[in-house]
Amino acid sequence: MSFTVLYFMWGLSIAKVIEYGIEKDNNILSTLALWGAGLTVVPIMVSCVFWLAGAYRPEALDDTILQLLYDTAWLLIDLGYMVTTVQMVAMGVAFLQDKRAVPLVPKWLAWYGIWVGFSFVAELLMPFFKSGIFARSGTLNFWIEFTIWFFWIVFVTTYLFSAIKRLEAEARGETATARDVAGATVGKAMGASA
Amino acid sequence: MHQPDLSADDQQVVPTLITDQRKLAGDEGVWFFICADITLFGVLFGLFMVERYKAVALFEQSRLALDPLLGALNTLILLSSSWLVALAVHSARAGQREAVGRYLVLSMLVGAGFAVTKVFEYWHKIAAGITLLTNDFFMFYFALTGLHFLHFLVGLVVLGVCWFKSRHEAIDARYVVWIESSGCYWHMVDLLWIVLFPMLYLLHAS
Repeated sequence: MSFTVLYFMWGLSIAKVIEYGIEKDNNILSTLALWGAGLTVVPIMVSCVFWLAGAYRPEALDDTILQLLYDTAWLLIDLGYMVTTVQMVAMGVAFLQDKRAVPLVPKWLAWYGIWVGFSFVAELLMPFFKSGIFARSGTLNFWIEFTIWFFWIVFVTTYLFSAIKRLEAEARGETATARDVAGATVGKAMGASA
Repeated sequence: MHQPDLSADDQQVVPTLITDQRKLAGDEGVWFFICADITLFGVLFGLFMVERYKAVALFEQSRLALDPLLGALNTLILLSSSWLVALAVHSARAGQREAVGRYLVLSMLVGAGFAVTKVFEYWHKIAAGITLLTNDFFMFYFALTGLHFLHFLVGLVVLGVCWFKSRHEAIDARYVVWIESSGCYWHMVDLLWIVLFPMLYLLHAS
């Protein structure tokens, strides 16, 4: 539970890269990305509290109350998808606005994030089902949705490191080194072959 | 395919896109989105078939409650709308602003017929007491067609943006990439329905 706040710090670092490296006239997209990351922490943290509340003195609670706490936590996590969607779409749009010959983050990853954010809308079906692919433990609304989100985090983190190095090099007036853009070039090739 | 009239006064061929060596129409990033989306729907189609295999009789009985004529009508609507978007793309490549706007408006008008038919179908089912909770077949029916319908609505907005840009911005290489990418997305909406229609409405038990 305590570590959920790291997602906000991770989101802040991305928002700063967008603000410093891509945005020119305003900081709307980086602000949306930052708020999206920060607000993503809230449902996860509060849901953890609900689960802990049920586990704190379960012997004193009715089964139905325990079930209510458990259900509430999952509903909060799954239906709070839209704040993360805001983050992913804002980041995707910002990355697409990068006018560098080799963008800081490749186009395919920008669109991958937009796609994941868009596909999260399937979570709206979750409250209707207790079993099946759309349930909170289902193939789509748990395994697929959270897996593609996880890989988006891994990919973005990878490119973020190379982006920061490139921004540092640009600030020093240097051109980016071959190693710094290597990841982005591979990404571009993947995007072209997609 | 029919080629737009190239004799119009505003004809101005966009040279960069006629001669370049790109293999894909539109933006490569949009193609990544399209491939990812088709893959996700492909998984959902596979899951549908798995569940259908477990309860063939139920799925067959439920399928008969759907009207294949309405499904066929929607197929025709989406194919026609996609064809009109293809004409708009050809017109954009030829730099014909008026033709681009005309074909886009027609594609949106024809495409809107899909929404009318779909809302009628949903209303008819719900009025008959059939919802996504009725059984597994209708869970898939409402969920898959609902997710597809959201894609359709996004597509209408995207075509509307293309139309707006055709009225207020230059019909240049940048615009052609825009309209090609939008056209590819619209074709994806079409393609998904071409799988959804036979899978939900026509696939019968042997």
